[in-house]
Amino acid sequence: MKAIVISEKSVLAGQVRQALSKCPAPWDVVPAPNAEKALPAIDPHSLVFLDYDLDPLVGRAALKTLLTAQDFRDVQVLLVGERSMETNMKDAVKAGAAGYVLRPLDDGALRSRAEEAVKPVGSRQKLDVRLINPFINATTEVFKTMAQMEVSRKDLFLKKNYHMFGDVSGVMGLTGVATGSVVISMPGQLACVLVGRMLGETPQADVTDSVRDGIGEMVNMIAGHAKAAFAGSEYHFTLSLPVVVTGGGHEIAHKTGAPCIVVVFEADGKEFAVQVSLSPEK
Amino acid sequence: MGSDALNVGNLDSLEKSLGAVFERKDLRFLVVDDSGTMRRIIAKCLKDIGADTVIEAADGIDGLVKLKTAGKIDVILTDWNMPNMNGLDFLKKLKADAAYKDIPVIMVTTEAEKSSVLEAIKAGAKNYVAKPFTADVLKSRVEQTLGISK
Ligand SMILES: [Mg+2]
Repeated sequence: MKAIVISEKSVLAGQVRQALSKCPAPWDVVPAPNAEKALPAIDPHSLVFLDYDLDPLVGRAALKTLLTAQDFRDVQVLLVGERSMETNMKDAVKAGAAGYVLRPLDDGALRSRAEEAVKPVGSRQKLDVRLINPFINATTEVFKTMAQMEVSRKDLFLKKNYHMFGDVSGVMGLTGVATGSVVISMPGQLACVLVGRMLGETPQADVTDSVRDGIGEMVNMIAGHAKAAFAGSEYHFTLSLPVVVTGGGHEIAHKTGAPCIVVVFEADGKEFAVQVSLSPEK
Repeated sequence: MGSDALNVGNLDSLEKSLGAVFERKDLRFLVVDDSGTMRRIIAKCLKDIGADTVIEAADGIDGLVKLKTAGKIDVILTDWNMPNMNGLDFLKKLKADAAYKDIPVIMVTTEAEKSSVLEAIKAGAKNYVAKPFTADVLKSRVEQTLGISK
């Protein structure tokens, strides 16, 4: 595992290194003086410690840099700060940070927060291909048929939280035998291109109501297409109505304790993600 | 000269086959779907095959309201998964109403399971198009339905 420690003072990296040295799995700890300098060291699934004893605006900007540079990946950002910064850190958690650790630092607390932050969400941590393949096929098919767009698969992983990625997300709640949700998230620009292609029109410049409507219908078709593959199985579900949210950091509404599988795709040179969290019949 | 004669012959037969299309004067459709994007995609396909009027409704209840003032409707295309009144309930209402029961209905829906298709056909749907669909498939199903309904 890789931990990047962002602090103007080198002491934090030493503290993190010492705390994580007691973990059963080895950690590679990399120090960086600020978020920009840390970016080259961050891989898609890194854990980042961000010293948050900063001006709140600087802290928020650093957090945003880290989260947006790694959109559709699962970089987790843990904040470290004095108790006087707790309100700011709570706000930062709402904006997408994984959590925070209060100073003075304690090895045990630091270690347990780190291990917690990189653990996949959900009880069963096995990646079930029977569950995800119909959604991959459905996404490919819907893009090709409705928008004449080819998609390619870039990544597949178990997510560490129930947050959504991206600017625009289409969410479909699933009920019935199995319960959960499927979410498609993408940058606003891709959403505009996609809906433009569906309609055979010039893409809108901004994410308008019409673009949001199109993304809702996309997730409806993806979920509906995948549904047929689960007829008679423990993953069989019923569709609800699609909901579209804009702005990142939302949590999915249907948290069932099931793992959250993320597939990252690319279309038109831009990445987007489909996340599926489905709890089978008990 | 020979080729001219041939051309005339072709035009004649072309006119004859087009006659069937031209006879279907004032083709009028009702499209019911909660997604405005989907209604526009479907409306475009219908215009391509000669629709004169496409009336849109956002759910089953809206569909019933629009039908009251729609005049003659040749084919209704309806989604299944919609708020307020879903497509299957809308279909059942149509079939129970003497004024509407003879209008052919095409389900255009993501519900692609065999059991769902059967349920809709049993309730009186004339045709079924699974989303996602290509424009060609939708157009041919509509033309097929218009042929059947004659
Ligand atoms: Mg619908």
